[in-house]
Amino acid sequence: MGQLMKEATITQIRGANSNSKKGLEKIIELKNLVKVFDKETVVDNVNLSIRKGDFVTLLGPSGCGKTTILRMIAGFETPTSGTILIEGKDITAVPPYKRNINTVFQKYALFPHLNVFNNIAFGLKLKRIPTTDAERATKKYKNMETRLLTNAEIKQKVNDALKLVNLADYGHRDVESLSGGQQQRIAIARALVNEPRVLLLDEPLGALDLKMRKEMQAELRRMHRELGITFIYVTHDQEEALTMSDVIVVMRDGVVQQVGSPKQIYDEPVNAYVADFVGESNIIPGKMLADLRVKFLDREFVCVDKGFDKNEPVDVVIRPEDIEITDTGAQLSGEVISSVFKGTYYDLTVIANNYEFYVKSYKDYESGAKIGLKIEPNGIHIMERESLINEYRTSVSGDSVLIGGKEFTVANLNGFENGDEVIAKIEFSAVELTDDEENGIVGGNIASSIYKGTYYQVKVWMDNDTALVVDTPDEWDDNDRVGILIKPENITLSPVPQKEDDADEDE
Amino acid sequence: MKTNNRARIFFAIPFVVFLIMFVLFPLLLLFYFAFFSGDGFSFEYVKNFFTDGSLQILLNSIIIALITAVICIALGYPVAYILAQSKAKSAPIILMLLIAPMWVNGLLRAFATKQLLYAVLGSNLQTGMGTLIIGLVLDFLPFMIMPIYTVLKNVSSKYREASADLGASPSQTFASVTLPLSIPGVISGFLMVFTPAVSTYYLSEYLGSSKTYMIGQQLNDVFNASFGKYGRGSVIAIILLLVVAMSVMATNRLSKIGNQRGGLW
Repeated sequence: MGQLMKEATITQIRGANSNSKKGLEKIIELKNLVKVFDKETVVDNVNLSIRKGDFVTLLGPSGCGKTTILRMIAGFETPTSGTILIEGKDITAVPPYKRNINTVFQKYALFPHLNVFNNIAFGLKLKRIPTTDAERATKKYKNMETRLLTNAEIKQKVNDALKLVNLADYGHRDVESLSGGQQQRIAIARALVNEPRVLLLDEPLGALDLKMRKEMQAELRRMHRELGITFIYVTHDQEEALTMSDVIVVMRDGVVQQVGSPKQIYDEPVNAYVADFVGESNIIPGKMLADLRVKFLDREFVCVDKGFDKNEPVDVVIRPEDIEITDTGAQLSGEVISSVFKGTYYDLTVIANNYEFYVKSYKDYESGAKIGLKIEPNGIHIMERESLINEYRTSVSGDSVLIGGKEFTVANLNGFENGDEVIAKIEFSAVELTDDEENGIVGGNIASSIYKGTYYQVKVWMDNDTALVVDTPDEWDDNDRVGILIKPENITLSPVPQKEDDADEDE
Repeated sequence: MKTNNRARIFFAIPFVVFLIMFVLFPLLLLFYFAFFSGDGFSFEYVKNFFTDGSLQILLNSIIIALITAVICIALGYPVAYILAQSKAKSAPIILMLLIAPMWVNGLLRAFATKQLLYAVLGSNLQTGMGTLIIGLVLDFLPFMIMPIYTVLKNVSSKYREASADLGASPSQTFASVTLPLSIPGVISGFLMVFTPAVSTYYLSEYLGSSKTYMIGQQLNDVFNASFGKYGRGSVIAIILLLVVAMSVMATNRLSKIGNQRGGLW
């Protein structure tokens, strides 16, 4: 009985959207979208097309610009530059109340002075629908192009929406008497009842406990499948993104890193950042020997990637589940450091060739056990390395150089004199970060931190917007304040080249 | 636990003594004067209240206070709304300037208001209902603006965004979201204006006329006229107390219907 009612409900809400075929046309296009708040670029030239009917997730850590993009699509923020198109029409300057888009807010934003029924009916009471010829013939709607919904129609739609979210008898309830999960369902019903072209969801499950979140994930997937409305979903939870989406957009610092299906994002991350953010990974520095051949941890491996330069330094990404534990044909031999039971599998930490691997195993191993590791070619993902050394074009001043506006003493001036233009190079591992910024030559903020198996590769913004990459054994949190120290002997100076040449790093 | 309780009791003693001496005892005295004449217990003074014109004066006072409160809402709400919406850095300063007159002595303010009205409307000005209400509104407007401003500031922008998201134009959002959610502030403001306005003395003395004779003046005159015989005055005081208590209870009830906490109490 309940199931039957639900299905009837769904066909009714679907109404407006049912005649559209999924995946054929773009419903939303973002073109060169930029948003700057107080001189800080939060969304940096984003271009994105969203197909009709897709479940699209904007994924990234807090502050990556995903919510700002959502708010610009809803109309709550005006882009600094760029355009937003809906079904081909430019709506950049259209106010939110004139957009056929509805939002499920992070903290629900249910109206406290209205009961459940009136919360859901809010949009319906404002809506005008075209009149039919028969209606225009009546006295009431004479010569009227559009009309408001009747009370009976509103009641019908609200009750359908309540059934859709499994809260059929809750209409008379006070919203503040409902649990978090129930409030979330009402917020979804309030948005969906308006039959929007696009439903925006801003971390809608963030405030729910794990069990409720899993339940609501399944509910949202069901509603998306059955209603055929385009969903744009914002989350920082990679697992949520992977399980729910048709398309994932991974973002970092206001820039889109990768757009793809969950499988593409997971199996073929475009860079170490995406690999690290989406799922657990082993990220190992390596070098392409030739097409299909990569060297890392002093071993040669066969891979499926090609098109890199000979001897090009790369990042090698290996998912924990792509590492096979075997005695025959092992490529690496390692020692188990720890084993943690995760319900259906064990999370092993294995040291092999001085690298700390994450390995998933269905079999338990005691710590200290010697095991062989094998990685199939398609389990090895090769990624371009972003940079290899900190390099600054600067000038000599006395016995120091200026980096990030501060004077760093140099041990070996290499024959350069005061005022000379030079290139200063500092190895990632030659930079020291201190907790107390007073102890550093200059202060800075941690921008990102990626675990590379034996160390963290940390990006630091020095205090006048100069970036610095540091390899460090310590874990730092994003936005931590740090002091930056560079020993005078670790800064090497070289002349400013006439032409940039890719110095081949060779052993 | 026990010592804790004992300490609490100990520290409460001064206040309790104060309450008994200056609140409870005078209140009992009031009831004694109101209900005991020379011949023992009687309702004579209460009867007097309803026959000597005091009732009419009380009703007039309530009407004057109601008019004042309504005008304060009409003038104060837009000001509070604009200030609460404003992102300008000057908004808190303007709010402070609006409240600043409250720091000036009330009697001085009434006197200044009168002089101001003479300056603006001419020195042959006849004080009466109009000038009295102008004075009352000037005096109590900040008490209306403050609670409305506080509530409007706390009406989260998320509700306005949700309303716009559901298709409401800015004016529809105001009518169906912002205004209903700010009602508790209006109720608080009403109470804060009505309560002192209904029992005002010096303003009606300075800015009113014989036609706007208010219950506060009556109270003063009755006590002054009958030295040693406080029966009539005590009855007026008790009835005024009841009017204020009833308006507080009524507005509390209204606030609860609105289902929103807010305002000042």
